[in-house]
Amino acid sequence: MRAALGTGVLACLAEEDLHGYAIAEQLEQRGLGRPKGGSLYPLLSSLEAAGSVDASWVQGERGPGRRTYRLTDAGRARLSEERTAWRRLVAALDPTMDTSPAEKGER
Amino acid sequence: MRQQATDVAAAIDRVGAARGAPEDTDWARRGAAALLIADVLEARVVEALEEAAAQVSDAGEPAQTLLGDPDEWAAEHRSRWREEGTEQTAAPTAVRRDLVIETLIIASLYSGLFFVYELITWSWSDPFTLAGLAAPLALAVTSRAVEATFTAARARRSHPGGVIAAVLVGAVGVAVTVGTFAVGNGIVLGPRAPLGALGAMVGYGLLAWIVAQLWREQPRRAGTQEPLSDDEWLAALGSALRTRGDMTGARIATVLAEAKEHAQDAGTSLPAEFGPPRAYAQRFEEDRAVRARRTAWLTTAGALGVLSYNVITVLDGTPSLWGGLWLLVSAIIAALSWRTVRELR
Repeated sequence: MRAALGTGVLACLAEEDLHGYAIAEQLEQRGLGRPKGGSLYPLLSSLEAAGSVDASWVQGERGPGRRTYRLTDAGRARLSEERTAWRRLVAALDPTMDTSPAEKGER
Repeated sequence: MRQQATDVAAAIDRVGAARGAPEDTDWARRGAAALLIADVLEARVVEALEEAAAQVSDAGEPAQTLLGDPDEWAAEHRSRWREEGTEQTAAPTAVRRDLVIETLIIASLYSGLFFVYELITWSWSDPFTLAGLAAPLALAVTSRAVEATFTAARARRSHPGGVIAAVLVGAVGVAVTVGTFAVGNGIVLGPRAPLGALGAMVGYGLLAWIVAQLWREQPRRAGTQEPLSDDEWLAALGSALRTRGDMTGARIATVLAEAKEHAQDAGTSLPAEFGPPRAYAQRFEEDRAVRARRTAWLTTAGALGVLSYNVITVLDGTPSLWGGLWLLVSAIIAALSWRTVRELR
């Protein structure tokens, strides 16, 4: 699962801007399991350093602001490349499986 | 089951013995050196070498062919430990015994420099004074105290806090050293300055050895500590992040705030969600830009110090060629470190 975590995070952010814990919850909903904070934030930090995501403090309705992550254009391109690589991997493991992007409704 | 090697030297031998090839021993030595230079815990180095020994033994191929360049092998291990959240470096500890021994070794090195200086300036007929004996020790105490103060104050407060505390301690140390020269220069201990400096070098070295023999090292406690409360965990994480030396205060505050919020949302304790604070601090990738910027400021401060010295000598009417050359070298070092900052931007 660790190998897919980076792609999973990018995929969650492709839909909406999220703060750290919300990303962990989204990953859980996608069946990837909820990563521990100890794995998630160093990964987000690497993605930020690589320019795939950027982060800003967004004031919440109640309580203090949250640091919210947003996918950058570079991050969107990276997600697309990583999705292609995962599809190739799945196709290699199971040739009977249809992994064409159109039918999977890729965003 | 094979017993695991107990120290790095034994683990290096284990890699060499896997195929009985001396080239594998050299490879292991280089790999271990790359890890030890990066301050990796000895236990981690032994584990990594044990793994390499097993791989070489199973494959029957040279370590270089099988595992690649030893420096890259070491970098891959560090990166893997970081991803896994495995603690790879020890907390810096200032043990009184080590401080004393290190200070004496540094005093011996300074005495060696004094000896070389006496030789270069051909001061054979100069007398050996108390300043020649005491100044290396005063300089050594200053150097070690500045480093220890910086490390401790940075871990407790912040990088700028560490710099300010170190500058204050350094200023006191310089005043004491100047005082040592002022008082000691008039007290002659012997007829030959170079021989005296050589004697001081050997003497301080010997003293360090004697202290090391007489003052027994206390075994360091392993990482089996009491469970930390959330506040203690945050304090320990802040300290571990500051000790890295490549994170700004703002970045550290962000890491702490996110950890706290995440644990609150998850309804778990910080240790349960993030693991041991030191291991978590080591999971973040190195920010080379911050480190380079700090080095550049340090070299610039050094160059400005040398410039001030040169201005004083010019105003005094005693400018020297050595002072000018020293200024040139320090200016080049500062310029090169700023170039590194630009490259990493």
